[in-house]
Amino acid sequence: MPRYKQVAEILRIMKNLEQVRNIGITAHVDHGKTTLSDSLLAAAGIISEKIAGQALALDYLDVEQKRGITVKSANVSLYHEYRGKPYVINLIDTPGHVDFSAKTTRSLRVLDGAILVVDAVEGVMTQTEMYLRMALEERVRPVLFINKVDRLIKELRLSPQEIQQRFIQIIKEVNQLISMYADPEFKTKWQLDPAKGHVAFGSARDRWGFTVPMAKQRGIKFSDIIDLYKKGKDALPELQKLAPLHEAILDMVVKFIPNPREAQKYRIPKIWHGDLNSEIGKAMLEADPNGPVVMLINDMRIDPHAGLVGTGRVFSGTLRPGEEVWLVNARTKQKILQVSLYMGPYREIADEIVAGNIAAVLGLDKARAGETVVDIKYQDVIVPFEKLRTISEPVVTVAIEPKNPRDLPKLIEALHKLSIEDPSLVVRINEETGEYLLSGMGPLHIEIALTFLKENHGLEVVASPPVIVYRESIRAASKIFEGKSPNKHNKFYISVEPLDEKTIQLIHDGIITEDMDAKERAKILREQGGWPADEARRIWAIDETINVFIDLTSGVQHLREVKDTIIQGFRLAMREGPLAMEPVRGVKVKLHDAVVHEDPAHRGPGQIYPAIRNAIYAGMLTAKPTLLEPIQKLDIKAPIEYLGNITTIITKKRGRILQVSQQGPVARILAEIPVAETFDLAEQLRGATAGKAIWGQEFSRWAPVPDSMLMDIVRKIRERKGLRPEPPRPEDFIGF
Amino acid sequence: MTLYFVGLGLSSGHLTLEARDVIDEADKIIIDTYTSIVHGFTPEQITILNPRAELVLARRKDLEGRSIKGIIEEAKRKNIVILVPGDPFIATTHDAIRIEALEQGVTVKTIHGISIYSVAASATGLQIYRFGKTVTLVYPEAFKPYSTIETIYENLTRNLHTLVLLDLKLEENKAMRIAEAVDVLLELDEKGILSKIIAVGLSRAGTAQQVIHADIFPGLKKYDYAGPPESIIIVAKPHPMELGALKLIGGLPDTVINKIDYIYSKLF
Repeated sequence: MPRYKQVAEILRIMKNLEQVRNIGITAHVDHGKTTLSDSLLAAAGIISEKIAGQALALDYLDVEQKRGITVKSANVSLYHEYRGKPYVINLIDTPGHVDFSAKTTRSLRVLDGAILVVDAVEGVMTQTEMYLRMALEERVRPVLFINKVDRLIKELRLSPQEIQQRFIQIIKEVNQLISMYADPEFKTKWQLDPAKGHVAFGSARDRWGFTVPMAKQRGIKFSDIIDLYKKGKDALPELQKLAPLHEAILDMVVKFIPNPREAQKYRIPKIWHGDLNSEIGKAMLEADPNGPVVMLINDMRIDPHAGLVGTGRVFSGTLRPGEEVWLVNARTKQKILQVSLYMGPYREIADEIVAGNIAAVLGLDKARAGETVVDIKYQDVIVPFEKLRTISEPVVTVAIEPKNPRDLPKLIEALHKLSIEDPSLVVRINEETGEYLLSGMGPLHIEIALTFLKENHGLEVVASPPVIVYRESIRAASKIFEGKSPNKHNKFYISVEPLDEKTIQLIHDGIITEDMDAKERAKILREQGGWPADEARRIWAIDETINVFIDLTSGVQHLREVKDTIIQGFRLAMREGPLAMEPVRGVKVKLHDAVVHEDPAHRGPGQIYPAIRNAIYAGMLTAKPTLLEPIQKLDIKAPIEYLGNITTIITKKRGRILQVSQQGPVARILAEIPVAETFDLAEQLRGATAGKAIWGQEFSRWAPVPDSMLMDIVRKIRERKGLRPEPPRPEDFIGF
Repeated sequence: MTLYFVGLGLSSGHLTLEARDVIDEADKIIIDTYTSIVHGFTPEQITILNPRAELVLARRKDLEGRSIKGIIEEAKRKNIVILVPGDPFIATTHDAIRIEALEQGVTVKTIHGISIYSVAASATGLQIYRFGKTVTLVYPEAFKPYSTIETIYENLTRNLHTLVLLDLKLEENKAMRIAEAVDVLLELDEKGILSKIIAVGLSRAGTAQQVIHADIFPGLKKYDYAGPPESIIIVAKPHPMELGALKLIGGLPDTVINKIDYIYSKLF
């Protein structure tokens, strides 16, 4: 049963960090993450007296539980008393599917400990291993819950000795993984010892569990449990009383998961890359409530009543409403309108939340998951936890529509939510077809998003086969071309050339932006990008796919009035390049001279856009144009004997092995592979390694497609878009 | 053969005898349907004059860009007539065709028509010698047309009138009206000059439905007009003869006339 508490009482506990724990639960698919979370919430969730006072609160909670609350709330807080002392345990939602993405990493950043759930029948599986490895890399301490022990008893009818053997085997495997992946200082320290109580055994569904010390203290013998199961369903309450699951789990958490202050001492040096001797660094190491505010937002969700709610961990300082904070990645200041804590799955308004705790904030609607929020006074010195890519580069697109057309409004809303919760997903409407386009980092990313739509929003959608998004670029400088408006009264003299890698990087990282101070921008471009001073000063536009427009004209009459029209013409041209109407990337467009009609009626968009576009297109087509394709980085781990098979697959798919290392019996392979080749990669890797390979993938970079394939890909894209297969020639854009 | 540019004037009655002869001999007649409105004119009038010729109702894309080459090629073999509202080359829209044709050795002949450019002066009594640069006021969509107000300021500093043509986007079914134009110009007028001085609202000028009103510029909004095409003349300090015409033709109120020296005494 949930406990009813005053908000003030919980706040008091939260201020004493020794009584706080921040944990996550993780499991391979179907090993019981949701069941465990729900059992814990049912048994130990806290509800404020205010909510409990509302007559329907309990019923509501019940309904929510049936729907699986853990996937609906960013955080669920539990209340537990251990040796007479009260504790608040924050159970933070972690992604159901674990990969090497930023999403997984950031969800781990806010935890100090993780309950690893392993199905007693199936044992350690790929996702168990993947998650454990990621957790250890973030210095998150694991404890183990061996779940579904009832199946060993009822289905497999194992003897107590056989059951014990199985437990030993699972613990041994997990311990091997810990010694393999934990940092040297934790390899031994974090080994799980059942005799000390690091492991709980039980059944989340039947809501019982125990640890070895608990069994000793209560005189539970395993044979008793087997006997109780023989009595059938009626014996469950007795079993739940004998070995209450939440006690077993939460005792274990309180005893072995470090409190936030203890954890931040050794975790901050690993998860934050700023100067530990700085004021901020010291404050975070100490989880100092009087230090500058530093918060990592790991979750943004839309609440139908409150709007955008950010949830995250306060690593230093005290979060209070009304204060202005700096959002490092969004590069903006915003005011905190409301601060709340979690009581069970509900948010309750608080006056302040101190360092070490999980907080929900309203007012930071510019923030996205992964944002570092800092005291406004420290905006110039803060090193963020995670550098967000200001320009997301989704590379695979599907067109989706609901199976039932009436679900369209629901789908639109769900897509909107999805793109806020996962900023790397981009939703667009194809203005010509009215289709909804969902773009992500790879085929798997899209697949997960579609599963999410189905499971969390009950939406059945029809998706087109995924399409790779390419970029058009150039590899040489063009001469100056004359772009004429249809009425021939306006002329623009334009050349194009490739942007250098350094500049592309500066724009990609958001260091150089269109709306920044022009002098500051010119300085960075001169000093870091090696730009000539006159070009650096005269940037008119930088578009979202990283192209720059420079005005090198002087004294052209009326140019100021058509400036915005010219820029818009440039943006339109960059949105769809000449080769295959794919977005353009990495092109510097220089306007050298212009002739503009005397009267505004003859220099409108209808005249200017084509003039600008034609000159740019002609330039690009003469400057060794090519397509860039997205390249993915793969991080594969598999038993060493499969190394040869894996290498063969990667090479066959135009991939490249970057690095191979060996960790015990396991080979780790870092490789690069074009996204276009990854559609059946999962299948092939599994097939070639008897299912023993695990891997993560992330976007790496854009690279030119091989010249031998260029025209073929161009033709295919053009045909898909209903264009004639041959790309245009430069003459098609000039001289008429 | 010959490429004729024929001015349609401002009203269906403005077609000259010379124009009728040319139309009669044409193999193909292209009617510009997008640059302006010719009051009362219909393509049938042309069919009656010459039922044999191929008739094309041209949109902008048919007379610009890539289409130009095709017209010129055809003019080498046929007599082609392009019918243009007003006087063919006043608005510069079809300059490119003429230049290109001449370059290619095609004979080009122009039959002139009546233009707003002359009607604005002769219908209002404002003297053509006192007009400065003409300018179009476009819809402030793609950009703010600052150059329009700058042109007006420049003309006023030289004590010259400005003929302001109001935007026509016939392919989008849009035509700017005087009331709309007054608002746009007042917003652009950062120096606050237009709110004090005299202006003339001109609607369907040169046609039987012509309407002319003279008043203080913001006051132009209060009158009824005949419909597009419309224009505005921003009036510099009027000559006594001009003032008489503004009063008797445009109905300029006496209250304004009495203050004329004061109004123009400290413009900038």
